[in-house]
Amino acid sequence: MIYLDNAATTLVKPQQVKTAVAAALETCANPGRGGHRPAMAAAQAVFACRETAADFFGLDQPERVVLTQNATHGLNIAVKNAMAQGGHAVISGYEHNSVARPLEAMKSQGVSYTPAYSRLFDQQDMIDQIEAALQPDTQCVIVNHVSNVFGFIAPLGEIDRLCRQKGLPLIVDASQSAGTLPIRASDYPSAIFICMPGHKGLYGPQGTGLLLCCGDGPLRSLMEGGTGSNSLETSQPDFLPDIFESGTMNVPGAAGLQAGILYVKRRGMDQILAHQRAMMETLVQGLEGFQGLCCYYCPQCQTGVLALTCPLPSEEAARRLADRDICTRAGLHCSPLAHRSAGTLPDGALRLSFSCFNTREEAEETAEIIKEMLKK
Amino acid sequence: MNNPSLILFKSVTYAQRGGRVLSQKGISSYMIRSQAALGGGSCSYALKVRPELLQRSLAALDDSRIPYGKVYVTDRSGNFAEYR
Repeated sequence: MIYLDNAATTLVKPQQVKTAVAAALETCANPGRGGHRPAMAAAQAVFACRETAADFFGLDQPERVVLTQNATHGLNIAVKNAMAQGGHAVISGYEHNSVARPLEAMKSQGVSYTPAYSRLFDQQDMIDQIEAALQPDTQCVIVNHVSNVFGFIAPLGEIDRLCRQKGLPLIVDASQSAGTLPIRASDYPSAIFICMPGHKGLYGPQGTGLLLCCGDGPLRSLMEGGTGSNSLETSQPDFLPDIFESGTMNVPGAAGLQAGILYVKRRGMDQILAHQRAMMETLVQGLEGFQGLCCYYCPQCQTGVLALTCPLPSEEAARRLADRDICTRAGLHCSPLAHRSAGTLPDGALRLSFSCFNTREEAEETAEIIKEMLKK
Repeated sequence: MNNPSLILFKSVTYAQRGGRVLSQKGISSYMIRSQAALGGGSCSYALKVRPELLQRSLAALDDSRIPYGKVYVTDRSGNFAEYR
């Protein structure tokens, strides 16, 4: 099998991640709920994950790291907090439905939003379109750091600067960048929330995510319940991380995620990104000049995520590749806005996304199989 | 630890962070789940520290702006008394 659907989930995990998950399943009970050894071990596993993430993403207070189920969970918390008073939001033209749908659902509460559609791989156009979309009642700007469809890297530093000039908070969807591009919360002073999954570039298990709470505004819970704190009160604790962490936590997931972050740190994000880009380049070179094939390729502002279109419908192309045991993703990737920006509606695109475990041979073989498939 | 002092925290996370700060200052502590009665009826976690290190511990927590709740000292019979 050749697995090239890493933008959805990295399937191949470091051995350390598997070991940590298995150990937590054996030794950890419920964190923050008891004083016995397995409960304390669970609390330690969760806190270790928080501390590691805080260090990795440049937060000095581990309690600002909230463990979520995935990036969508974090983005829902972020969007629903930032837009709690209603008003307008500007989102980039490359947002996932995990941003668009919460905003859409809040329309009945007086929320409106404008997608700032911009040209693919044109960072300046993205900044210009976001600025042009601002309105007097704009409450926040939401940006997908890296497009999950095209790997297009948003100019986050410049967008942060724009937000600071305008006095607007920024929400960052780091789903595709966490573990691949350096993210230090302090580098983006306007960012109030940075959301990410644990199961993609951080190589943690599915069902994990991180929400970095960088702002100091009032917080509203998304879900209420037991937290192991303030138990006499029937109202939800108002402090981090408990306000956003009701119910039993995914302790094996937290242990695995910590191991994944440590793996990325040890291997080095520069090296990981360079490897992914080299694999992508090998694939693109292998496909070069093939009639009817369009690769969306711009390595200087792209991670290891490649979209392509061909004479076949993308779902049919993905199916044929799956028949050859090559795992890719087709269609709209839950990002209709990105396809509208890039002009790839209605069929979407075939996406091939690399991890640090893919090899040059896999990229070469995939190119050959795609060409063979299209000749038929 | 004989006659330990207890520093209560509103959540396990703050107790853990407090323990980390004390450790960085060379102060040993031990996290326990505290009796609900000590925490005003709520579940809470506490750091046990040696009584002679209590003042230094509280100063370290204050310096690091880690919020803590009630503080208890124990007498020779093991009874808890609120420190302040």
